[in-house]
Amino acid sequence: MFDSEEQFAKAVEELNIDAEPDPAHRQSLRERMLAAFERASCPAIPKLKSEGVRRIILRTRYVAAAAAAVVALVTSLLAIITLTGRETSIAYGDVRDRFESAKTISYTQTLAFVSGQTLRTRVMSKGSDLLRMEVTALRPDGKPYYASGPSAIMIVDFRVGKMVALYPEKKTATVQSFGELPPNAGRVGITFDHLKALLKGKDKPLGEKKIDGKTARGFGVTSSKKAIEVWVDAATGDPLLLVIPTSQKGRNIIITDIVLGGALDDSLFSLKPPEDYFDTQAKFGWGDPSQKDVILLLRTWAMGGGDTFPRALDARKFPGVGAKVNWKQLGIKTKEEAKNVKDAISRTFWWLYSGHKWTYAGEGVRLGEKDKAVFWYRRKGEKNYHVIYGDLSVKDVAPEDLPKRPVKQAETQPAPSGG
Amino acid sequence: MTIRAMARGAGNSDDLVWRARREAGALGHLYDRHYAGVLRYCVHRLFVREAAEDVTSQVFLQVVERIRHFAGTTEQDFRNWLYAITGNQIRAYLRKRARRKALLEAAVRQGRIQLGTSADCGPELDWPTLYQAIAELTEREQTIVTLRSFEQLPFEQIAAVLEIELVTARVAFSRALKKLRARLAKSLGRA
Repeated sequence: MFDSEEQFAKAVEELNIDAEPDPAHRQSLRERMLAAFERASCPAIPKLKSEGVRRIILRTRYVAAAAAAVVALVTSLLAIITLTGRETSIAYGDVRDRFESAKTISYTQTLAFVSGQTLRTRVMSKGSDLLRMEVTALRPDGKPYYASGPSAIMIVDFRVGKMVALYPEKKTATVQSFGELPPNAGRVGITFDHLKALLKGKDKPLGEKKIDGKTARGFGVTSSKKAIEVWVDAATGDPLLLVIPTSQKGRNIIITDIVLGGALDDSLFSLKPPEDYFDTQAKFGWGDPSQKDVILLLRTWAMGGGDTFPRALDARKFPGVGAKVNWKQLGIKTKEEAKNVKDAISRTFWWLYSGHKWTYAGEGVRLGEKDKAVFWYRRKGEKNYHVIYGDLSVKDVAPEDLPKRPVKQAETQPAPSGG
Repeated sequence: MTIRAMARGAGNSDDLVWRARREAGALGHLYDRHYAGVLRYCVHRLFVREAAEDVTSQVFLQVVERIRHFAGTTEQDFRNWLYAITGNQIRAYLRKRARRKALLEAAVRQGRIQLGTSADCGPELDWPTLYQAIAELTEREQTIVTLRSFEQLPFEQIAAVLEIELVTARVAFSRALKKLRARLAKSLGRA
């Protein structure tokens, strides 16, 4: 085992105990600490030299009587303030005002998936213009996929209309201007303005519970957008927890480690990728998909669904579908060909979410059914529609001759990201 | 590095300690330099990462509360002070018996898993077993063993952190090591 101190130290070293810091905790604690420091920096009220004041006041008998009354009044006022301070309920309006008046916010946002995986995102926002999200994907056992830190960092500067995505593990970066982003790109995260809007609803008390050993007071806030829960420290009013429901029933976005008004350095929002990062922007052009690309996406989706087209073109489900596709059937032999297929599918997804006109009607249609229309679309400036059938054949059809639209078209969702 | 540069370096870091009393930037800088060390110390004393992160948070929030009254002048003083606060926070955390029990149970659980996966390797020293053995030492011995063998602090610094004589630190460490050896021999022998 060990006979000396040196041998023991060596044995300890060989244990390789994982004590590496979690960057999310490190950053969140840093912000909390500095915010607490800033709060504590407010100038303290100078202490009255009570003895001296008392001596002056009590110099005459008449003044002494008046002073006694003042002292009694002040004492009772202090008692009232102290007592009410203990029992005052935190009004929701005060909580909302704190968010409204804060110039910065940072918080940790957690979203768990049915698969057991979790996305934990540290969100930092400065005013309405700057947003930084550090997304860490966690395995079902709670450990991050990459020990080195976040899976992706997204920085958005609304003033210049640009966004940079950094991928620390591969040290790659992609810078894009909003013109290149689809209309619903805002869904990548909850912006500070979005959060403030969610807080502007009708509130009702939810009672109290313990959060991290603190007594928390809750408010249910219902706005036209959502019904959320807001939990604050019952003693100080500091926000502790927000629960925001997602479109999927029972799945919530949990917001914790909230810091309002903390110092956020401008360098956190720099759109310039670090020097050792490879900028993929130059190599990656989305562009519009060709008809072949659209057919490829539909084909692979049907293949992954046992040769049946899906209920909806829901990108969140595509990774699961893709795992079931026998890619060899598509004749892919080289890495280059695989990359071309991946790019074609990405291009088509991009296009689908970019506000173009298209209709999907393929639910339950079997691959090869030549009489059943699956998908039709028309590009800007075109008169006729391109209709793709179950056998992946295409016909150009005039608007008046289009197949009947499905009664209710299932919603098309972007792939899950930071929010 | 020249002696002059070393002196300048030391001067700068000491200046940081002075400035941290009133400048958030300087305090942030000190935090960046010492966060990993404090967390590591907490992981080694508390085994469970979540507990270690909670205590690390408490330590730095305490630093904010007390930094204006911190009497030290050098970064070394600050480091000693930080380890002392960390030790106190760990003690406060472990004061609740339920917490202590939970940490030991976690170590036992983890130990069983490791035993299950390395059954062929014989009774080698592993972290859960060592943690359980250290937890049986006195509070002061635990601190000394962790600071010395895990954080590799010199005895002079350990003595300063615990405000004890240098010779006391050395003797206590030596005794603790002897106890550990006996306990580990017993538990690994059983395994």
